[in-house]
Amino acid sequence: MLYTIGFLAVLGSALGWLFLKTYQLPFANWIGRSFWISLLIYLLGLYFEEAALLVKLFLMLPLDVAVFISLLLLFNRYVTKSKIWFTVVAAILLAVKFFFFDLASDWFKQNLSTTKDGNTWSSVSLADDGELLIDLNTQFSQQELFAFCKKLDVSCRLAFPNIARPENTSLDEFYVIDIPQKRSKDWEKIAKEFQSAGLIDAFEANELMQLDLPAAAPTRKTQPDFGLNDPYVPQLWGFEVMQVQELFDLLRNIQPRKVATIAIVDTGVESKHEDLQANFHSINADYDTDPVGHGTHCAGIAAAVSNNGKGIASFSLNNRFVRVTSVRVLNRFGGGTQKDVINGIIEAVDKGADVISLSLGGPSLDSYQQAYEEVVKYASQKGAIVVAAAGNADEDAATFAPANVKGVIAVAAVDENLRKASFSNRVGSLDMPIAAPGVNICSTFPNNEYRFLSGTSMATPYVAALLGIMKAIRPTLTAAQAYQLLQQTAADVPDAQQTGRLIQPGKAVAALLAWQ
Amino acid sequence: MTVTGRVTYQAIATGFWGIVDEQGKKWRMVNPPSALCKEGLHISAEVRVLEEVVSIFMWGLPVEILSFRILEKY
Repeated sequence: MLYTIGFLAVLGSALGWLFLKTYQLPFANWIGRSFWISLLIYLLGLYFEEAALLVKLFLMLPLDVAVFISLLLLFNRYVTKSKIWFTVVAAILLAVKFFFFDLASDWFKQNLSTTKDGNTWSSVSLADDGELLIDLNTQFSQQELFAFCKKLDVSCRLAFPNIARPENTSLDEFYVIDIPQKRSKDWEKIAKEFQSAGLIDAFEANELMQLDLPAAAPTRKTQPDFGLNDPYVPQLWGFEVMQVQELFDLLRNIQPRKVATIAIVDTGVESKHEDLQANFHSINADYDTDPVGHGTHCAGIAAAVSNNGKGIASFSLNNRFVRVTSVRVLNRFGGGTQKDVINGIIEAVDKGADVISLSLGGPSLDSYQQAYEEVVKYASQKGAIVVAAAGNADEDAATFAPANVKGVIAVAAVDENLRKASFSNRVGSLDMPIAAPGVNICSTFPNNEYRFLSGTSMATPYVAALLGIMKAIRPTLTAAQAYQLLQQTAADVPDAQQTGRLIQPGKAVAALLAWQ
Repeated sequence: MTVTGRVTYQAIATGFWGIVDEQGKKWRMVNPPSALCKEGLHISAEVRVLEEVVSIFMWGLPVEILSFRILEKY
């Protein structure tokens, strides 16, 4: 609007000055001075006009100058000669400028320029996988976004899952929307549905567009690879906050006394996974498949093969310290009974497990609490340490079993900001609380896949992995002794009263070595 | 038994749909009908509480939906 007003004012003041001066009428000088004010308004309008700089400099400005000079020359003739001729040509020139040219300019803006909120990307060519990038409105949660996606029958994932310090940027609010192939033409309509619901601040077609990063966003620190060649290691944000480099430096110079066995008591484990197979020890072939994927994910966190050029890595640089095994106690829906879990613990202990990793749980039932305590005692007598997830209901884990069972190390989840994960149960009232990363954790998934999952389920195998290494170094280590070392060496985190302190594997192993 | 509350999706573990009832109690649907898979939907459902109280989700009591009534659209 300012641009149009400026142009008309420049034109009007120039023509008015010429007219008044030619007929020697009053106010000619006053109108002449107003030309310069009009020119300033025009230049400001042009500067703020929504168009690319090149379009402004080489298309809009030259055309405006041409129209201005043509009209001025014609008006000069008008003042002295034919008025009809001037009127006709002036009308044509102004029509060209305000209708044809402005329409052309709009077309340029819509098709060649990059804007953030664009709703008119009719000519973009979309990526086959992840057609839209959206910027989630911070008033909505990830869960609400996922729910809305489900409603629209599209899938959604974090656009930049490997952000280690999201507090430094807003990139963690960006998600990729995958639209089914047959509906890919409807992407604009789908994007508008997100906007109408208020869920997103902006959307972008995922190919031609570039993210409009906040100008003040600092350069992100690249997540280190810890000298490992596994491609997804830089995605393991927890490695840095747990300072695993210290652990790796220690493990290179330690000779373990045994290979400790970590039992994943869960939905089964896909033992043939490319990033698990070399570290997997089967105790029953029936347990070595995983229809859900949860057990396989946990197994990868606990003992994925490191430095094999595939997938992720675990705390174990090689297979001299730990191996992982599977005991299936949950069905294909991820559910089971407390009786099944207790039987699974017994089986794992009897088959020689050193660490029992329980990424499962349910409400504490009086009828089973005693049985849980007995089986944990049994495990302890056999030299096994039981570690269990705190639960995901954002409640007090004191009412949640087996995390609340005496003798069990209970694990809460922290997010990438090292705050309590929004879903994590609180473990502050339990005997042996500890925290580990549990949000957006990349790990192994059936069919040689890798996925990001969240939950105290993901935090638990990190602790199990550390306990496994400690048991390999000192096989007689008890749960109480191990917990004391974990607790003494752990790092303070903002919500430690609710989550316990964050494990620091290198420091825990160093303390164990000093203690021997 | 009858559960009255709002439907919620939880991206925990492999993800699931649940109900938070008017007392704030959580119920995890093991067989959520597609009509109920809408965030914030206000519903009343006849449910059967399952014996399989242990799960990878660790959120609420698992229930099978026997019948339901939508009280308010999202």
